[in-house]
Amino acid sequence: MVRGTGEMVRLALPSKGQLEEPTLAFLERCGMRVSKTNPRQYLARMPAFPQVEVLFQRPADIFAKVRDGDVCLGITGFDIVAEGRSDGDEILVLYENLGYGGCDLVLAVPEGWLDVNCAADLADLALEWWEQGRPLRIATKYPNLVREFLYRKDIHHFTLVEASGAIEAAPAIGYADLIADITATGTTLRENRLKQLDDGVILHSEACFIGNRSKLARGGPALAVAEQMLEFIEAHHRGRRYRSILANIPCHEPAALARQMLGRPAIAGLRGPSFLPIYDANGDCVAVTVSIVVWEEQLHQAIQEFRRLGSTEVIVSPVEYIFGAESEAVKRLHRALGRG
Amino acid sequence: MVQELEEEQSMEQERRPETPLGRSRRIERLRGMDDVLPSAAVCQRGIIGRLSQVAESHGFRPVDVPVFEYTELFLRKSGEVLAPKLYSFTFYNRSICARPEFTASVGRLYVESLQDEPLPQRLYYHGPVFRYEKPQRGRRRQFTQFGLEIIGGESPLADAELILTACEGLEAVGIASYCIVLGHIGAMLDLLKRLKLDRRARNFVLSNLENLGRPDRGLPYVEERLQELYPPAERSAAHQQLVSGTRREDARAVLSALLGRLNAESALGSRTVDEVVDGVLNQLSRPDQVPLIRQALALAEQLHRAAGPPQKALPAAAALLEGHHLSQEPLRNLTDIVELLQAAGLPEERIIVNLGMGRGLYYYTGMIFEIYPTLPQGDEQQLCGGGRYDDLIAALGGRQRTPACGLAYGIQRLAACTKEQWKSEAPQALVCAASPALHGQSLALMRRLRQEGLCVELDLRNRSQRANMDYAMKKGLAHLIVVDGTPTAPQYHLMLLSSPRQSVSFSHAQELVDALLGQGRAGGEKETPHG
Repeated sequence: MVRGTGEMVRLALPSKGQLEEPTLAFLERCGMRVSKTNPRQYLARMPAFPQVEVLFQRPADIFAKVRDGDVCLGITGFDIVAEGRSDGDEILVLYENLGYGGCDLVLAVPEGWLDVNCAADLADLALEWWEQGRPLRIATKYPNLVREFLYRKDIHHFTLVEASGAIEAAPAIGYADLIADITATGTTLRENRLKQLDDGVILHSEACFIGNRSKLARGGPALAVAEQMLEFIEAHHRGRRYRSILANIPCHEPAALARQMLGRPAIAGLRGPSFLPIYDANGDCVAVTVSIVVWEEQLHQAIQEFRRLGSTEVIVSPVEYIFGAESEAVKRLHRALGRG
Repeated sequence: MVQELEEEQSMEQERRPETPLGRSRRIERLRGMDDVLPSAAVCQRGIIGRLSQVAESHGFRPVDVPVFEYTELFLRKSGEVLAPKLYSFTFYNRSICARPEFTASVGRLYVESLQDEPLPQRLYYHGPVFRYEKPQRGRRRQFTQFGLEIIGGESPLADAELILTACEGLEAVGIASYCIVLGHIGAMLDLLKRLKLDRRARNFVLSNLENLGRPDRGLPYVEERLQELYPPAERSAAHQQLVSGTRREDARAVLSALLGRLNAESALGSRTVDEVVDGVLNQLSRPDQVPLIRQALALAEQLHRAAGPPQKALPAAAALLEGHHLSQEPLRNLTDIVELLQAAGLPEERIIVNLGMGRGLYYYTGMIFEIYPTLPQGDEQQLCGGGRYDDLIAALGGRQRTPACGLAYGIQRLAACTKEQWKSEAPQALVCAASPALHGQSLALMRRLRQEGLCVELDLRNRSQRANMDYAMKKGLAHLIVVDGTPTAPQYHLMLLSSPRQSVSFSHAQELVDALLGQGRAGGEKETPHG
């Protein structure tokens, strides 16, 4: 797909942990299957992109490698990017929400703190403790995001305890008073008898697609690969919200049927219906096959409408991709590189 | 176009020399921090020099303090507004930061070293300060302050002296037109005390006074912040009645028992049951702060709108304070200061009185002021600001309550406004050797010339005489001195570069020195009629 000049483009994907399987599944759905010759190997290829060399890395290392330019493109958690980036660095977020690996960075306090339910309560507690000379210790792996959030909430007196490993246990063990950590379902918090503050979501994070600014700015195969991957990701994201419908409807006058369908939003289609005529033995058009694309939310309604129009069979299939005239994500990338 | 630019850049990359570590990539400056090029550096140093002269003529003595301090020094009293802007980090387990301002450091210095000396202590200083904020024109992450502190001077006399010194400094650096906005934090402090705001609410109001005054923010912005920081509380009037109708000990006993039944002790982390119970009771019995905050903001806004020239604004503010049953003391103090300033000859039209004004930092207790290049209407940036902070010294561990006031100028902002042309001493002559064998003689000659107080530059690039002449003329030097002959018998040629071009030769260095000194004098005399 990319014309070759021999230069390899390195793409880092998450290995181990919770992002590996969903990332491979996601890429496959987007038409970019990763072919791993050996499940224990750290290198792989993508048949659709012969110039891409896939490396499997830990999500935190992917961020660092892309930032430092060792690798040109990567998929990692947005939480890691948001925490690690600083102004003027080389990280470009090409696609922020890939639609999987969702989790929240939240502030959580021990369940028994009946008087602390929101950030404002925590602000009162922080001031009270500061006046008593008692530090409010918060255990986290995300010091930058947490600090920024607390400042925004006018909480200024606190000590961040940088920790790794089982942060949820910190309040029970006693090396911190509360925590800020990633949670997907809240189960771990509950098991550790912690409760999330009502307005305590610091960041919502999903898997994201990132690139190295300088490497992409040079153009060449790196930029071409990034553009094509973005095109497919975007078209897949757009497509998965729609369903394609084929329905046979008895009909002698297609124009009249079209008018009827256009009057019903659920089956008006993206640009209106298109018909294939069905003929009987005498060569008369007795029915048409209608082909339209509908919103997944309107699918049930659309089927009902087709039944009302006399359809006896409605075939529904998923939409793999919807490509527009141009890709918004590619346009954004060009703007970010000063090419737009 | 972009393509071309990139190609050029990549070619530049190619041209860059190979170092032992490979072809090196250019390292960029940190965002929001500026290099100071020679012409700007001359201007900034000139300004600092003049301000130092003014300060010393008032009896201020220079001090210097470290760039790094414990973070706590600035959090103690400077207020939370500064906290997010601190460049703070943990170094060997101590929380340290680059100073965002000087006053707290100078206060610490006074407490540590100068408490035994007679008061008042007049101190001045200058140096870089660091604030992590969004960089924009006139607001950089590193900038230079020049400041004055009068420790042990009572209001209103010390306040008036401080403001007059500020004006004198501005005039000394070539800023003749400016406008002083004069306020007094005492009015708002009095109101906050009367409304019995809790500490967080008080901080909210004080830190937002500045936003109230900004035309791009104003009340809508502050109201939005208020709603963000004070979400509607769940507790209802019934909750409060429940608490107010019960003796505290009873309520506490009931709550403790309930918590015990919930097996909550195991889910309290670092707090005890009693602490949480007290927290709940305090929360339930605390009056809702939001209406009180709104009341305080409303008065601040009215005071803002009443701002104007003293003879108009002072009576208007008096009426407002009276209407809110607030003390007139801050206004009396301000009136005294204004009278002193006028008696000292400061034109009244230069003063705007604004009692709703705030200055971010919480340590102020009395008069506060800011000086702008023109009447502030929009986003004009202050040249200088300061005020009175009678509590700071005690808060930093001073032996007793010590009245104090101070100010700081932003040097870069002064540099942007000064009308003066700042020049450094330029070399008068370029010395060059005709051959490398004569470098020693050139250096010896330069030494003699400098001993005579002359400013001379040496050719380091072994250029031809022609090229040296071009270089010297481009740099505006008056003379070119060529050393030739032999190391044992050097010859010195003095060339006048302005027309008519002349050249005189000497076989002794001293003769050249005498000639150059004579010429300088003669030249000076010649040029007077034209000047």
